[in-house]
Amino acid sequence: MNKLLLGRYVPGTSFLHRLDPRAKLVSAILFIVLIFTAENWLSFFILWGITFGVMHLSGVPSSIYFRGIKPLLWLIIFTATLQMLFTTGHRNFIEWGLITISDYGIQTGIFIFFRFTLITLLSTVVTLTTRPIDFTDGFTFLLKPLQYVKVPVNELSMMLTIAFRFIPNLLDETQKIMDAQRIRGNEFGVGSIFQQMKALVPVFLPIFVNTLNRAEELANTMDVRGYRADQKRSSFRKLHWQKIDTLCLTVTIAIMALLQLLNSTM
Amino acid sequence: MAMEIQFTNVTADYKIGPLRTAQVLYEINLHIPSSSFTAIVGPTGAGKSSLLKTMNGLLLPKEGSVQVDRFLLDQHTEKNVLKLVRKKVGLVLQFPESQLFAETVEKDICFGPLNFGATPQEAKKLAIEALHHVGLQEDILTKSPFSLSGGQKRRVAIAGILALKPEVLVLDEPGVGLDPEGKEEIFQLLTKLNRELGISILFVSHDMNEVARFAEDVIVMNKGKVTFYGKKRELFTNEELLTNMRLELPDALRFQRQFENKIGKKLGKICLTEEELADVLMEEGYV
Repeated sequence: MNKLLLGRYVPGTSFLHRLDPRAKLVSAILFIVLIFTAENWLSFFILWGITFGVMHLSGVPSSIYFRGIKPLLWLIIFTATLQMLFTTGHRNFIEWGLITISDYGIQTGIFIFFRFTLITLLSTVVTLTTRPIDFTDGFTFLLKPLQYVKVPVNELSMMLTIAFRFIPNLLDETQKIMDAQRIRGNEFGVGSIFQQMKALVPVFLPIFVNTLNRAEELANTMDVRGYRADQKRSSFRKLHWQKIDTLCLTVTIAIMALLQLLNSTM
Repeated sequence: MAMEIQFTNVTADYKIGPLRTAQVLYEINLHIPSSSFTAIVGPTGAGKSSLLKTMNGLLLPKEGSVQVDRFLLDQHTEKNVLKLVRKKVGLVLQFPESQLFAETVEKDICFGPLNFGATPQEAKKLAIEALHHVGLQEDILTKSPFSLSGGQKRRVAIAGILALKPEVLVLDEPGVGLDPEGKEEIFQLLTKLNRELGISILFVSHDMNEVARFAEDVIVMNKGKVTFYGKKRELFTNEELLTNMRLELPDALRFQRQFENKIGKKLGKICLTEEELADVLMEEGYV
């Protein structure tokens, strides 16, 4: 449970930590688009290089990244294997009923593996180097245009803030309740899938109950302190756009253009 | 019932997320005899809860070992051994009522015994027995645990552990968040379990009155180390340790100190409870 990296922030003073969350978010989104559109070995080579570079820049030990990717690894390998087994191409090496292994299939399999891994690593870089609260501020800013089509952006951002805020609590509480049930002889991750799922009931039920209670308490506290959803609100924290942010975006766009060029010429 | 716990050079820490926290326990050496009644005190973050968890195998020592009865707990302990230890050492975590989950109190209390291989009939018998221990009536068995009051919930949760028939009962702040009456009842229960069934009790507490009234031995912890382990009277006569550890005095002793200051002379004996103090004051002719 505590292997999950989602929503965890590792404090630091690196270049990436200091970057404006808006710049980080936009760059990350652009890179994810790039990763999805990449279709040849050279592009992937460059993207791997950039990802490793960014991971290095973050100053977070790389072992942390790989521990974060571990729980997802099986899912990624599973998806990649499916691609590999069921795609036909120019040259089919093995044909056995539905299963075909072809040159094209192997390539798409590997590319899919690359795509998922790269996206996970990149988004981990963003979450590890951005405080959740900054992340929400950046997100709110980027959504602002939607206010004109009556999307309740402020409420959305409040919900997001609260959700982020309670992730660590929820993880700690889950750990605590798992411990409590372990004491009473409940074993996790043992036996058939059905038994394993059954072992989770005594954990999820208390968590649901506690979470609902806490949500109600929080709503009351907000009411008491005069929170009103329909009011215009100012922000205590201000985002500052600096030269390095412009630089970061420019570099991202330049890389995008370069890769597009590569794609069209190959 | 012989159940001793031996700590040998225990060092331990937690892994939270990808990060390791600093050591929470540092070179602990302790021998806790059978049928003892021990309080664990110390400032927050001293490693009290962690010490409890190492006795039950929830936290395994990084170095050194914990010997519970004939089982040895260290990094290499296997899962089935852990399970045997958990049956012998019942651990009641802080706010244990948050672990209640079943539709009825009966199912919730039976959950533990069933996990440890009891038949449904045996489990029900154990549940009723445990319920009597914590002073609840049988008609509560069919109720939903979520419909009970705070104090009742806590007692049901403790019954859930007692139903395992542990030989050592370890509790993390059992009285916290309860009204004075609820607290009193919990500690009366612990005293009864200790005297009648010979169950060793270890509890973490911040309330020195609880410690002075109910415990026999006290472990003082600070920064992951044990700084004192001995009889409670030894602790409360050790002025230096009390001030160094910023431990509060029990009400009776604080009253005694003020009284002694006013009259300018010492009473014959250090009093830990109101009853003791009243007796001494009568004997020495002050009232």
